[in-house]
Amino acid sequence: MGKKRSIKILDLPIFFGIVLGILAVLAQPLFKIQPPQAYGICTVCHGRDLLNWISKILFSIELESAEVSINYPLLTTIGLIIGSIISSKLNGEFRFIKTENLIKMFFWGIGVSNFGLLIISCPTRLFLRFAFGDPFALLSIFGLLIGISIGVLILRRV
Amino acid sequence: MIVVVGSLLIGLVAGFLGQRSRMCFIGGFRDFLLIKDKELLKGAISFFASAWLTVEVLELIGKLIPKLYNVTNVNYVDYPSFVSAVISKFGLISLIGGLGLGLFSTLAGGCPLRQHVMAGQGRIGSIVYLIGFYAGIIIYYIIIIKIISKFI
Repeated sequence: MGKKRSIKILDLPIFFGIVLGILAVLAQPLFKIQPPQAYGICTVCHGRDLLNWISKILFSIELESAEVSINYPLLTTIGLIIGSIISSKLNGEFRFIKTENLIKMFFWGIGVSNFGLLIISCPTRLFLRFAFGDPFALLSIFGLLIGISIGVLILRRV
Repeated sequence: MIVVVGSLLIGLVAGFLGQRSRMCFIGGFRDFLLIKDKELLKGAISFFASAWLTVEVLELIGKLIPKLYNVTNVNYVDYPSFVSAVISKFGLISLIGGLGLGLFSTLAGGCPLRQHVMAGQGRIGSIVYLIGFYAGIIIYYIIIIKIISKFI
C-alpha cells in the first residue's frame, strides 16, 4: 500500500516542483554553485559552462563562463539525460521514436539557446531568479507568456 | 569538486523526476491555453513557491549572500523602482529574450529541461534539438554576440 502511494507521488509535477525548488536554492550553500546568484539549475547556462570547459581543455578556446564554472564543469545537463535514461529504463518507456520534423527541431534548438543566452536563463532559471526577487525575471516571464501565446496561435493554425 | 558532484546530483534528480512527471515549464501555460489542463502549471507554480520559501528561510538563517545582487551582470542600484527597470535597456532585452524563449520552446514542444529529459527517453527529435541547442550556443558566441554588442 505504502509503496504504491510513493510511486504515485513521484509522478506528480507538484512533487517535482517542490523537490527541485528546494534543491535549486540549497545548491548555493550546500554545493557552492555560486556566484552568480540563483544558479542552482539552468539548462542554457550550465550547458554553456560545460561547453566552455570542454572547448577550453580540447581547443583552448574560451566562450564565456560563470564564475563558479571557471575551473570545474557543471554536469547538470549530463545528469538530466542520465537521470531520464535511468527512469525510462526502469519504467520500460525507453525507445527510439521519431515524431517531429528533424530540420525544424534543429532550428528551434538554435533559437531557444540564442534567446536564452540573451537573458542568461532558461525557463527554469527564470522562475528561480524570480524566487530570488529579480525584477527582470518577472519581465522575462511576462515575455515568456506572450511568446507561448503566439506559439499556441501558430500551433492551432498549422 | 563539490560543484561537479552537486550539479550532477541535481541533474540526476531533475532528470529522474522530470521523466516520471513529464514536467515542463513551458508546457504549463501552453496546456492551460490549449486544453485547459492545469497539472503542469501547478508544477511550475510549486517550483517557484518552494524556491521562494527556501530563499526566505535561508535569508533568515543568514546562509545566503544578499538578495538581488549579481543575479545577472546587471547592477540593480541603477534601477530604484520597477518602472525604471522596465523602461531601461536591459528591461527591454529581458522582455524580448523571454518572448523568443517562449515562442521557440512552444514550437519545439517543451522547455530545454523537458527536451533533455525526452532526449534521454530516446526521442530522436529531441536529440536533434539538443544538437541544435549546443550548436546555437557556439553560434551565439561566434556571431550573434558581436552583432548585439553593436546595439548595446
